[in-house]
Parts: sequence; C-alpha cells; structure tokens
Amino acid sequence: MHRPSLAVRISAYLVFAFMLVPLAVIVLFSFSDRSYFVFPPQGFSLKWYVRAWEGGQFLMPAVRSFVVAILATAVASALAIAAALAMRRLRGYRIANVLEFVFLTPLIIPHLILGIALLHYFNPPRLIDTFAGLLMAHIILIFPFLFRTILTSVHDLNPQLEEASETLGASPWTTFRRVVLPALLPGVFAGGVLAFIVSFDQFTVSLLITQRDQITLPVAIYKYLYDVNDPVAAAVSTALVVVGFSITLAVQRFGMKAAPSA
Amino acid sequence: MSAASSSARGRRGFLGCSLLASPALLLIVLLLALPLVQMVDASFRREDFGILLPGFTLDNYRLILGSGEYFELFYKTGATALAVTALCAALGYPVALMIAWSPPRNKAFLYFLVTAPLLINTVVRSYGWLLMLGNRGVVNSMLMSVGVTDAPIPLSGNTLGLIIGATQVFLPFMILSLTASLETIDRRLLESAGILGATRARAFFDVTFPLSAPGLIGGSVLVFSLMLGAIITPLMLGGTAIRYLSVAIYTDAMVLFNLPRATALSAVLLAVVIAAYALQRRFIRSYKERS
Repeated sequence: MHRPSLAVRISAYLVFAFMLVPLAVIVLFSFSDRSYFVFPPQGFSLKWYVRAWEGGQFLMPAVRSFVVAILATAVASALAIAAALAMRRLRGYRIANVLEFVFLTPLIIPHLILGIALLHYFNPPRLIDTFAGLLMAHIILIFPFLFRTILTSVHDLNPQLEEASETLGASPWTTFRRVVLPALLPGVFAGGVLAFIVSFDQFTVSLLITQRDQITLPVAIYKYLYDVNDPVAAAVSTALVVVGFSITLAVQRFGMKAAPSA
Repeated sequence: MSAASSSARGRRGFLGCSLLASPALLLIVLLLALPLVQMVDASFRREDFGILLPGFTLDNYRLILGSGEYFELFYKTGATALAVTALCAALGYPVALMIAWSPPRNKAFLYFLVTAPLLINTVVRSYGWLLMLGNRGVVNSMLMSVGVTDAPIPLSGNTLGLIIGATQVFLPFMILSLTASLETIDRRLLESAGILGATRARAFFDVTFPLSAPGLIGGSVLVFSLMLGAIITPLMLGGTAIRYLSVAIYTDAMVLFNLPRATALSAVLLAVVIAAYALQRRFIRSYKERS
C-alpha cells in the first residue's frame, strides 16, 4: 500500500489551512462588536446580522438571485432536454459532433467577454438593468451544464422501453411523459443542482449588465464593500459560507460528486 | 434490433430532430453568437462620447498591438496568470496526492474540503483575503506583534495581493484535475519502484509526475484561462491601479465608456483563451496516442 509521506501530508494540511482560514476570518469578523477589522478579534455582537436583515440592501438582491436561478434552471432544463433528445436521434452522424460542440461553447467563453458582449448587445433593446435581460444572460450561462448531464442520461435510455410504449398504442407525448421523462429525471436533477449553483454564484455577467435596480446578491455584497465596508458584509458572507458548506454536504450525502468545471 | 429501431426513428427523422434542437440553437445564436459578432464588430469602429460611429477602422487593434504601453499590460497580465498557475500546481500536488492515495472513508471528507470553497461566492472569498492582507489585516497584525516589521507591508491593492487571493480562488480546480489524473495511476508501479530501490522523491519524479501530466496540463490550462478572464479578485485585491487585462477591459467599458477599445481587448483575450484550449486538446490527443 503506497501512502503519501509525512512531508506530503503536512504540506497538504497547510494548503487546506490556506484555503479555509480566510473564510474563518470572515465568520469571526461578523460577530465582532466593532465596525472595523482588528486582529485578534474583540467583543461579541449579533448586531451586524440584525442590520443585514433590517437594512434591506441585501434582502431583495437575495430573493432576486434565488428567483433568477430557479427560473433560468427551469427554462434551460426544458431546452436542454429537447436538445439532448435531438442529439440521440443524430447519433452516429457527423453533425452530432458539431452540434454538441456548439451547445457546449458557452463553457469556453470567459464570463468577462460574454458580459462585455451582452452589455453592448442589450443596450439598444433597453435590456440593461432589467430582470428579463438578467434572466436571459443566466439561461445561456447555465445551459451547457444542464445539456452535458442530461445528454449522459439520454445516451443511457433504453430504446426498447419506448418501442414497447409505442407498440402498446401510446402517443409520442404520452411516451415522453410516462417513459422518457421519468428516466431522465436523475440527470435533470443532478444538472439542475449544478446549474442553480452556477447561476446563484454568477458575478461577472450580472455586474456588467445590471446597474442598480436589478442587482443580484454577489453584486450587492461587492457594491456594499465599496460604499460602506462594515461587518454587515461579513454577516451576509457568513450566511453564504454556511449555505455553501451545507449544499456541498447535501450533494455528497446524495451520492453525487459535485463536478464544477466552469 | 437496432437497425429496426433506427429505421422506425428515421420516419419521424429530420423534422422531429430540428424541432427538438431548434430552441436551444436559437438560444445559442441569439444570446451567444450574435452578441459576440456584434462585439467583434464594435472593435472595428470609432466612438465619440460613448457612441459608436459607422465605418471601419483598425485603429483600436493598432493601438493595442503596437504600443509599448499595451505590451507592458499583456506582459504583466501573462506573468501574473502564469504565477497563479504555477502556485496552484505547486500547492495542489500535495493535496491531490493525499486525496488520491487516501482510503475511501477519508477521501469523501477531503473532497468536501476542496469542493466546499468552490460553492462559496468568489466575492466572499476575495473579501476574506481583504481582511487577511489589509494594513490592519491578520497577516500584518501578526507580523507586527512578532516584531518582524514596524509598519504594515502593502499586501493588497497590488499584484502580490492579487496573486495570493487568486491562487486560493482557483486552487480547487487544479486539485480536482490533478486528483482525477493521479487516481488512474496503478499504485503497483510505485511499489515496484520502491522495491527496485527508488527513493520516494525519485519515484515521484520518474513515475507519478509523468503519469499525472494530463491532469497537470488540463488543470493549468483551466486555471490560466479562468485567471485571464477573472475580474472579481483583480478588482478587489489588485484594485484599478494594477496593470491587468481584465481590469483594463472593465475600466474601458464601465468607467471610460470606450467600447471599441474594450471590445478589441476582449477579442484579443478571447483569441488567447481559445488558443490555450486548442493546444491542450492537441496535447491530450497526442498523449493518448503515445501511451
């Protein structure tokens, strides 16, 4: 049995500390009773959490981030299911490879560039700083994540089940609803969780195409840090740290590996 | 069986297929292809007080690709992104080795420690480094209380802060890529190396390192291109004073409203990122053919 040497293990633990200590510092700062950062931290207070909740700068952006992520995931799932089923029928044809590449291109384009492109593109139809513009941007960003996972499920579909359903007289729609869709659900769910996370965490494109009315939670934190920079931002960040760790735990519990390869 | 099913499918054939694929294709065309085409178009235009003028010009590219000022920008951007990639590789190897060679029980927990930061917003993670590296931050407070320095060392608002913060932000991608590669290595090879008298270091450089090359290359290209396109960490830890390509694009677009220059810089950045991916694909293919 080859085990990593002591030197490797010590360096690995140091790297883990490097990754996690900044997050711990945010959590500590959020409970401080001073409005500026000192180390080691002094005092204890929950007032920044109260202020974050009552201040209202974060509540609407948080709700908006959540709603955008849900809606974008729903729309992109529908498009991805249809596209993946089309890919199955084209299996073996040359065009399938081309289409697959086209459907995955949003993964290769850096978010900054897509943001700049959409900033220019959304300007004439007045979609900048609108909910519709924000939603469209998130749909294109998360589509490839859903498409990739659903395509895997589609290739695992057993065609004999559909043939049986058709032989027994079911219409194509009934076959889709009763046979195909239930078989795809695990893939849709796995892709949906990933897509929701990507949308909820999205910063760059949201920053570029919103100004004030339609900002999302990460953008709200960023703007707050520039305007005020007191532990209210740390309190909101702590909430996000807790949510992030909980989702990771839940995803691991359900036996899926979170495979973010943005 | 499969021949019969494919002919049955053939009847519904092409029409059904295009009906199914067209909404997603429309999405890609309307929200990705057209915006990118318009972006490239804008990079060949002149502007006047933020408004694009009709006509065609190469001036934006001439300025970007011809002047010493922009050469310095590209050079510093490339050097910074390379430094982050190298640091991620150096720090990522021990963690990846530890994960790959752990018993399954510990593995789940170690994976958790690596992936959990990925699910925490980059704004939050960069904010953590702001608290660590500021003048009254954790690092400077500790250094001053130990007496290493009397005045705070400027650790943020410059390239150094950017490199430190970005390394933490992108490290999980490198670790996951390296781990995936290391897990495919047959561990009996390392035992044989040990039996034949190779030291651990020798076994690492002669066996482990070459066999993990695809993971290292894949992770490096990913980190390098993510770092080139990153905007949060450069803005928060580097500030607008540093010379970094993504910050220059952001400033041109959002502060100076010079869209032609912002889009021309974006086009250059896009070309570099696509070239990096193409090179990586070619390398992986030739690597697979050799082995």
